[in-house]
Amino acid sequence: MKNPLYITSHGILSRKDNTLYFINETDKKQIPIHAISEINCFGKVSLKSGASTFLMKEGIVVNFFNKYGFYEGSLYPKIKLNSGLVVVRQSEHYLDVKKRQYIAKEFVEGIKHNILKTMKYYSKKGKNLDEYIENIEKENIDGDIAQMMSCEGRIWNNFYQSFNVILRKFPFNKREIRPPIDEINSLLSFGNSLLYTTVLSELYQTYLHPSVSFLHEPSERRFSLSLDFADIFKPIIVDRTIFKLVNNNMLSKKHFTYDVGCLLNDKGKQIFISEYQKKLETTIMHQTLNKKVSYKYLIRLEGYKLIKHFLKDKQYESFKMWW
Amino acid sequence: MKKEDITGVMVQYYVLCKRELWFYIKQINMNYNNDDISIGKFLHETSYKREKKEIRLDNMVFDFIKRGEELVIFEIKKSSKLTIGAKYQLYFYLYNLKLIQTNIKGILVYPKERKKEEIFLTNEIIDEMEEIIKGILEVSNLNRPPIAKNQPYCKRCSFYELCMV
Repeated sequence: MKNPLYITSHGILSRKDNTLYFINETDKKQIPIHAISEINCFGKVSLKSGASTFLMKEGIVVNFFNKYGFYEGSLYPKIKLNSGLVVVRQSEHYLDVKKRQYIAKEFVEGIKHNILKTMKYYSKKGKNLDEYIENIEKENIDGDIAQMMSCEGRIWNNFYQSFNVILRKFPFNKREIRPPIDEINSLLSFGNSLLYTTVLSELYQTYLHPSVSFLHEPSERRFSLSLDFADIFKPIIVDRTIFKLVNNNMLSKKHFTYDVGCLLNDKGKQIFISEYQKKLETTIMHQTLNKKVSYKYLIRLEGYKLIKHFLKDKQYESFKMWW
Repeated sequence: MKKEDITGVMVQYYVLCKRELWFYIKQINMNYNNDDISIGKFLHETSYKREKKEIRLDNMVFDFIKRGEELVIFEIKKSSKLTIGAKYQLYFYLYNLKLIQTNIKGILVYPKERKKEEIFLTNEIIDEMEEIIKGILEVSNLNRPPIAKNQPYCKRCSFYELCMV
């Protein structure tokens, strides 16, 4: 199985013959090109032109993050999977208000369901979350995109407020993004950036166009379909990773730097990434495929489901945790 | 799509899976990560090295041919399992060529198994081919993919996840 490569140190990627090397001050490492699915650069990484063309040819997305762990951009290979029909139909579902609302609604339903499942898991473990669960349950997802967006906002708010009950340490009051003001905010920002790029790599393996989105506006600078998809999976991938890291004392204050805001340091990032990666590789039995699939693969399947919806093959239903 | 645009691959898909045919015509291809396809390609490149490969004629590509008293069209296959599609691909070539030359046959070769299978055009097959061509044109006009049916051979298909999810 192909796995993403995470580079947290500074260095240069270069190509000699058909081998990719990562060179830094102390080391020259070979990188097995056929064993990696994407490269995520958290350190200052330079790419020599030979390395870039090689990576593009092999269809490997390279994502760059700034020193705060925010996503900056990607080196995105030319699109190898191209079907005019899918892109035309995808745009049709954006332009038609009713069709767009159907998909957007499914996305929010998925978010709501997955957040509730996550909360109920902790509620069973004895955390008192009844009030928040009730608040979310009574949210009725309807209306136009703006109304659904604000509904989604309220769902997340309730979920975030419940963090103080779920988490054993690190108080968390309010989601603050730029810059993250406390430990939990910085973990959320870092985790969400990671998931965004994971989704982008999975979308690259489908025929969907990553810029044509339904809940978010496609006019956002980023590949906004990736934002749509990421939200559905945040509760089970990012938030569950954070709960584990914090409640099992795997992260402490020494893994953060406190400057203008609060950020994970290199060691902290490494711990987070390895746990995140484990989460992505966790497998579950799929109901209709009748085989085990990883959480990461679920993201791609979500893409397939949307394609089937566009092709009038099968109506889209968003991913809802069934276990 | 026109009758002249029909290729051997389309005939294969038509016989085995009309849904995959629809995707193929709409240029949606899921085969980019399939090992079986890579093996087949490798086998195609490494076997029968002395022959001139990939003879193109209109919309047909023959793996290789031999000319003597009769014309023989060869098709290389990885395994003798599930060759019905390949068989009809050859029938399709013979059918197209029957106006040019009458003395003609097809041979399916399985280099890995050191086996071969001869194929001749009969009147029944000619009728069947005409039906198939009509059917392919019908599928190409469908507005949505034909419904997925779960067959035993679906498991190894690279469309499996797309169809079943």
